[in-house]
Amino acid sequence: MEDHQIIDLFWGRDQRAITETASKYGTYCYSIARNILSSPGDAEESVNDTYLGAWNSIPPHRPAVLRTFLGKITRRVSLNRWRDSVRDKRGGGETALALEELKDCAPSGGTVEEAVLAEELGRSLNRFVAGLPETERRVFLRRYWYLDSIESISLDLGFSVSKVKSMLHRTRGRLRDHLQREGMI
Amino acid sequence: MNAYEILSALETVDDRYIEDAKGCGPSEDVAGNKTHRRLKLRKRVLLLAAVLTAILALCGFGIFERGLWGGWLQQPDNDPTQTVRSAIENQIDKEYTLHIRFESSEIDQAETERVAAMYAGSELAQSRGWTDDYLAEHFVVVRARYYVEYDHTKTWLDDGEIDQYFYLTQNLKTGAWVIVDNTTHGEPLSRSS
Repeated sequence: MEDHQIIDLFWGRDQRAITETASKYGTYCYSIARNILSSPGDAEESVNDTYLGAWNSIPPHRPAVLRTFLGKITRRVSLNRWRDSVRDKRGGGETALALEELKDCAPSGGTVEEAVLAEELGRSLNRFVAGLPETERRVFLRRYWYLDSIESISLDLGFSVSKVKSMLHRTRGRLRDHLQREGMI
Repeated sequence: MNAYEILSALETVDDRYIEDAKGCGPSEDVAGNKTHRRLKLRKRVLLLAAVLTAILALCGFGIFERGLWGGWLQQPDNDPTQTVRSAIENQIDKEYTLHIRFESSEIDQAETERVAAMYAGSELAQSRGWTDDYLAEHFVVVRARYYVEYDHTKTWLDDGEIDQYFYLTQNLKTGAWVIVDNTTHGEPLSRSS
């Protein structure tokens, strides 16, 4: 089924929207959730929450790209679930590693008001990502958006593990400089 | 601000960059990308195999068509003896042939019946689509004699007078006879000096 037809089902409050979404994007969403969460059960719950999130937000939204719209929901839900699990000492996996790597970009807690910061930070990151060379951007997003492991990135993109690590290291350095220049840290 | 906030804020990255990164191949495999990579590798291997097969097939077809590597440069004719004659005379176009002289070619009826009976009902005949009726009507053995001299830096074949059998089948649509097999080159009847 075409994306616009699925979106029409959501708008028509037709429950087939969920089954069609699951059929078309279930694996995609699960792969994102599974990269973030170490537990398959938690990942499945996140995917179900994604469908619920989509159901609750369409309407009023009419996403231009349904796949990334769902992916973003899955990612958000999964990160929240991961954070909760860390509180319960059940976390780990690629998310913990990614956070450890990004720690240098945000070395300390700030004083900026949170809501403003989140919005500004999003815009700043968008500018940063837009300014990256294509390869670096792909590697960066594979690691920090999709939370793919360094090994899988290196295999999929045909780079050595050390090259991916080195590329990510340089990109994080650029991110830190970028955030400093923009007064975010 | 902390690393978690950066990670969360990345959610707002423009869709096209997210799609582009995804398009270059992150895994959707639930078990951790291994199956995905295996599938990609398998696809590449299959693609490579297909390309190699196509190249080999084209080369093989070209070689067959040109009668190189032991094949015959035949010109199928409605007279099977003429097909054989063309094949013998065209051997001069092979790089290892120095001289060739066609002498005779004739249908050998006794050998035709013997070989047709040998083929009849065989797996080989089945694999080639030759029914018993087809063999009875559209299969002949032509006996040919010719004289040949070869470049022995390029072939192990002996020079001299050659007496050889050629097996031909008839194309039912065109009526032309085509050499499908032959006896081995064998010992020449008389050697050249």
